[in-house]
Amino acid sequence: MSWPLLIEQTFNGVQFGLVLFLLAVGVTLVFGVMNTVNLAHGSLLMTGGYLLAEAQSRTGSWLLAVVVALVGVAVLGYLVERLVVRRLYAKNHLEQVLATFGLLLCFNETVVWIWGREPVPVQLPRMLGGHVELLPEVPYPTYRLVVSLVVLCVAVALWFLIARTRIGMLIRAGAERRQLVEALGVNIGLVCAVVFALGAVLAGLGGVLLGPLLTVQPGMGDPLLILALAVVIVGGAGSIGGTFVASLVLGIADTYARTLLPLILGGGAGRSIAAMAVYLLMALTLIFKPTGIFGRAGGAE
Amino acid sequence: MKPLLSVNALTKRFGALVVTDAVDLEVGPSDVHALIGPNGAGKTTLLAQIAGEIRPESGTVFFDGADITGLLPHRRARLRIGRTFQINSSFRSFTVRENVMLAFLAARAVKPWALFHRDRQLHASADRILEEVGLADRGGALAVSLPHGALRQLEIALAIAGEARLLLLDEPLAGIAAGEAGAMISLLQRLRARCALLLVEHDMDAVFALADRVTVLAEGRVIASGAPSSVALDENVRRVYLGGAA
Amino acid sequence: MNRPERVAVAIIVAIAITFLIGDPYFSRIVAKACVFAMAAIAVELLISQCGLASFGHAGFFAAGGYTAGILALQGITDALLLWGAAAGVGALAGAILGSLCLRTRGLYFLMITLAFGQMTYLGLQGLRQYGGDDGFRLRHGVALPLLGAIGTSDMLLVSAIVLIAIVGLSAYLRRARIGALVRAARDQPRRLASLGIDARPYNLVMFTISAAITALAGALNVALVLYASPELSSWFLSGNLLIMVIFGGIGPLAGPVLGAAAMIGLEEVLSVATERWPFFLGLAVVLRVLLGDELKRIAALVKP
Repeated sequence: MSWPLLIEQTFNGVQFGLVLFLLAVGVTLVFGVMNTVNLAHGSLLMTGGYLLAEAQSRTGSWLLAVVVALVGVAVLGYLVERLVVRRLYAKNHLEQVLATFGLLLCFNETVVWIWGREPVPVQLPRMLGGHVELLPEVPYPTYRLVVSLVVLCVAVALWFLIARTRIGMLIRAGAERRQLVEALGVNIGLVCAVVFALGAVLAGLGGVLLGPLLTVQPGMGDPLLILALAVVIVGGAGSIGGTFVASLVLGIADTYARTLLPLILGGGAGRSIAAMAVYLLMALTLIFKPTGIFGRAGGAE
Repeated sequence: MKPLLSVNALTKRFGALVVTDAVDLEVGPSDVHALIGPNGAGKTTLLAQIAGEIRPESGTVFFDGADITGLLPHRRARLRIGRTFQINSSFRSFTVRENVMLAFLAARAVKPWALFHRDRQLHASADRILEEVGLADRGGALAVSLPHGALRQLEIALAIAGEARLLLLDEPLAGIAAGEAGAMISLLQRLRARCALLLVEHDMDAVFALADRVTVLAEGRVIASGAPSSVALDENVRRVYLGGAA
Repeated sequence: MNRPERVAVAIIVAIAITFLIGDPYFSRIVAKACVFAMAAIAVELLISQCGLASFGHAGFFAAGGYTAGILALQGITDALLLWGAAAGVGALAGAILGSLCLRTRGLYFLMITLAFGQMTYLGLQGLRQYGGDDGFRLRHGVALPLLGAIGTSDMLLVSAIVLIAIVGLSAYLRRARIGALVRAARDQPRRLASLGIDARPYNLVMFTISAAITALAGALNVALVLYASPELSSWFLSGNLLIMVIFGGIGPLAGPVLGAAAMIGLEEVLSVATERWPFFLGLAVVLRVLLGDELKRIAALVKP
């Protein structure tokens, strides 16, 4: 194992962790404010990827395609919330898991219906292609750096939104004391819709950013969703800061596991054991500190 | 006479709030001891610590000469400390009789692989208890279908099925209509023949009818303890609780 | 349908009809339904008795399948040995994982079982010598002592018999004291403790039994399809098991059997009609959850 490899994989890990954050923050917000688990969140990421690919192939412009994809996912997120998810807020967690699992099946099949099972290619915009030299002799894809930067900006904007704006205050209040917020005359239904739509757009953005890196294919978001659940558990459901830290930690851990550890431990077994580590951490958190490393007390009973 | 239950300097804090402040309490083997005090005085928390559901910061609880401070609730129950809850906590998906049958499982050997519902011995034992508390005719009804007063009786039935030597009763008269209170009070009178009672109560008629000793709790501290008549005359108690209208 | 005798009769009738139809493809589907019904019973037992919904039971299914499969690759063909070993491994895994998972409840239990299911999936993927990601095939099926090798139509009969036995086990557990105790703990854990009973060992026993049943089902599945892969441990499969349970209804003895039959049947019928059948399955699940309460109300109105 060489230094350049380590540096490259560390950057990859950070980038992966940041995209994971986009997905996880939607899950943690929906859980924190509406006490709802949404397994179909990965499908929103997938939709972002597919809309990007489709719009790009029709218009030829990556930038335009990004806009179309984000708007499309926002609309889809709104529809999903209004038609299905809204009715799940009052139901128990098992029913939420099953219903959103059903949604996931629908989404995956719809995508196969329209685009088929084969992965759909996404073109990297020319200006974002190429490499940047992190250190002499250590080239790193420009696009990956851009992805990381974009997500960092989004994270800062999100922090600002939640911590400094009125709607952010309503979201935080809704997460702490939902009935009180309702009693104060706030339209909690609107707050929930906004939270869900926000999560959807972030997931869609994740799909848009990952499009050129992963393959856009049916079910692309689902393994990421499971990782996002691990992130939310470890970081603390409802805590955005905790989600951010956990995303980076688990993103780097997962990347190291998939690329570096097999070199040390050797072969398939090494990769497996390392990948299992993320879920082991999730399990240990659930046993010893279920509210997560940064979580608030009281949660998922 | 050696006390059955002995609570010594029990202290419990929730963050900065001291909920139980160096409380001392003693209950003799055939005593009826009432724990009274204004709302928020910490009576239920104290009971929960004696039952083992909450761990105190410091202090000890002795039962029959043995230190039980570190024991889990089910172990204390095995030592024959029975308990009722303030909120009705009968087993919803079982009938009234089955509720009592469950209480017997710990008292005898559990035998998890034996059949449950048709067990004639358990039936008979349960019916005897139901007879005693006045629920004999409702044995087959689902516990959830009982009116509030009957549920309170079921709470008592569950507690005595375990042949308790000490019964911790958390507001047994809570929510009972004035007319039915007399029935509950006489049930409690009959109970004192078989075990010691430590009851948390707001109903002053019941307290003065039943109790040998009264301890008054306010803001986590014991402000008076003794025979009901002398406690009623205590200046501190009048000021804090009885409001001079006793 | 709560009486084990009635459920057994229904299963026997279904099997008899299948034999009369005589189509090997159909027989295989019914056998598959029997196998998954077993796993569904195991999942339902945990939910209805202990109040615990597991999102990782596919892990036990795969563990049983791989145990039987790997032993078969070594040349062992005795079904009793293979399936006994699978159930044993399932029980051991259930006891170990149960002692960890049972420290949680509700949604946390759902998540931790998911985590362990994923760990099993990833672990199996790492078994290079057994095909890794692709899994492995078996060249021949199992054999019963005295009766010799079991073909496909025989597997149908064997699966049905084992299913009936598992239904009987489920009925027994519900009626035994252990069932009553875990249900009481599910209803009012504090209350049960105040009666002097610690429910933890009983919940662990139930979890272990549930794991063993699921592993046994996994072993039968491998004997049926002659193929094992890490996909057997995917959270999709765990989700499918939960769907079967909710379709059949939580509580009645026949619930999981009906649910498994309905889902496997639906899968077959729909896949003939359209390749997009998972869409309709997903839709059915969503509707079932959203309308569940309304359906119950309507059912209550319709009942005489």
